[in-house]
Amino acid sequence: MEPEPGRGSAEPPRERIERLVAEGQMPRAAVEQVERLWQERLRHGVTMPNGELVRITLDDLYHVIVDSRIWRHPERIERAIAHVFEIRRSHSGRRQAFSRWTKGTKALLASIILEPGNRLWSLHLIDAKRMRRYTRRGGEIIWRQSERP
Amino acid sequence: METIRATIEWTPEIDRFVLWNDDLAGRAFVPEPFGDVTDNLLLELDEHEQETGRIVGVELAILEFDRWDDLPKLDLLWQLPGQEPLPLDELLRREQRRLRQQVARAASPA
Repeated sequence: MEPEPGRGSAEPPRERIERLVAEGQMPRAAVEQVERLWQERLRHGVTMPNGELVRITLDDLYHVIVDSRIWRHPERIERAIAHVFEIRRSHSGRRQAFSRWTKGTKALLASIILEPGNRLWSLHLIDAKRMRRYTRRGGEIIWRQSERP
Repeated sequence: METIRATIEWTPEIDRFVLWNDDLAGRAFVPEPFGDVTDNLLLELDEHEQETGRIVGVELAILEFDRWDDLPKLDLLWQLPGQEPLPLDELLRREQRRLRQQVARAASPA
């Protein structure tokens, strides 16, 4: 069976988001709010605590926001990157960063994959159980934030 | 066996591939790692952030993926638009061949 034109093939993140909005699976207002946030705060990158700048393209943004916990709270993208506390070596020159911060009484954790050029590959909210699973995989720690006294 | 209505998102320049369950688009999810850190099942969460047991998608770097033994064995079929339902490993192997060919064609001189 041949793929339907334009449907059986892979969609870029922007096309997928546009389709989801058109199909009513994501609110247009939420996507527009995220795009405004990107214009104002993300398009020039976000600095990690080790001083490195993480680059976020619009396609990266559209990839990351498909989790409703991100599109409902897009400020979490910047917070996650700004609160990285550990970076580990991964394969193909990629790195995995772990982040934690608090919002009110809620503690949040994130796993971030960075491309060799510091472009954002993925950003997922995780729980403590997932963080242990990732760290058990044993990627070499290449940076860790010093404990404050 | 349940069949999932699926679509593919791919960002070729950084080889970011997701096979999405399109019926769960826009839901909350948490990654469940298999293989390397880029290889994740994306598991649906409910409004209380509890896992529902449903799979939102599969995220991996498809061009370089070779950890086929690590791929979870799921009692599901995945169906892309206009195509036949396939088990996850068969669909991913087919898409890997197709996307590698696409990249090779794009890289070859006209």
